[in-house]
Amino acid sequence: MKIQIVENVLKLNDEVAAANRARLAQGRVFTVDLMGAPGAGKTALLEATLKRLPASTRAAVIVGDLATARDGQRLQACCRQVVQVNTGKTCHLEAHHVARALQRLNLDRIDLLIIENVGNLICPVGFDLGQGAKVGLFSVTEGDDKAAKHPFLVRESDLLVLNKVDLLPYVKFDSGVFRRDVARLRPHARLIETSVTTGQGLDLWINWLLGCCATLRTRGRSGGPVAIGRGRPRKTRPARKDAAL
Amino acid sequence: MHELSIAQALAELVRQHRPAGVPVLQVQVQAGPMQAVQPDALELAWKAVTQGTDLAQCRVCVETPPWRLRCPECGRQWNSDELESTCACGQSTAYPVGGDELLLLSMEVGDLPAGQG
Repeated sequence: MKIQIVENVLKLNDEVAAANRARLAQGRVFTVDLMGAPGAGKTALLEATLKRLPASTRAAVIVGDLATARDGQRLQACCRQVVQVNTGKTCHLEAHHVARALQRLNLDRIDLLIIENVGNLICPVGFDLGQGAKVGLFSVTEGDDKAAKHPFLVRESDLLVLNKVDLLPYVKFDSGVFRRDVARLRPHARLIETSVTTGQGLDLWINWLLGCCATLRTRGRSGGPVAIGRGRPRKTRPARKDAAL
Repeated sequence: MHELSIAQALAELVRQHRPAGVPVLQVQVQAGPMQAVQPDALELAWKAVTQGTDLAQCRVCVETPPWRLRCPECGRQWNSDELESTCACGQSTAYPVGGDELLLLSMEVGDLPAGQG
């Protein structure tokens, strides 16, 4: 006997993510899920960000890695609340990792939570963590074809960051090609170019974060929706087999 | 290798939906092209997570629909195995529509074992 179901396979993850989102909204914590390849500069960008944030914005970080506490140790030098998550065999963070990490944070003393996902351009994208926004980080040393090769990341990210732009004179990276691919996949995507070494673009990136925090506070006070970005339910409609060609 | 996590999530979901006592013979999954799911990898991961469990006899069948593309110039939509595809009007900047679904579509269950009806 065949039983029709049509349900999102990651439904149970999404339920935990929804609970995370509700907890974070209650604490008025704006949360970013930062995704990028290993070596793209996620931790370096966070170090630079945490050092530059105004004292009035209290930040915390959850950092995911398969193994070691090295990133967590680096970030502890610039942030009071850091939780390192070791995922073992799992190549991305899932909502239950974040739920456990949230238990170790004092959400009443946080305005901004940055989740540094495991270095990976593919696997983290489909797993909702309860974040307010997703940020996709690329770097020029990875090559200008990476947006085209990772359409899910580009389309799901509320903001894209292109890092290490100080290295543009030394690497084969055509910014026009990269931008065209991004625009094709997500026509109105916001893209910020950064260099942690020279400081280029860091103000834009930090202002974006602060703007999201401010929007969350304002919306929270007025009783409106508090999640920014894509806290939307996943679609559960199967693709049409008979779609007209 | 997100297929392993997907297989684990799928097994939990199947257990939620299965009628009590009956064997589940096959589950049908649809993974849109955005999900970058390899059917072979998901089938292997499914075997690994169900081995020695109540779902050990259950097969997973993965359906991977093609990209659905839309031309920003003329609005035409078509299916394509490749994400980069040129429209009949000559435009090569078609963008994908949907394709991010990851669904448990259905399950095939057997009869109740004799004497348990």
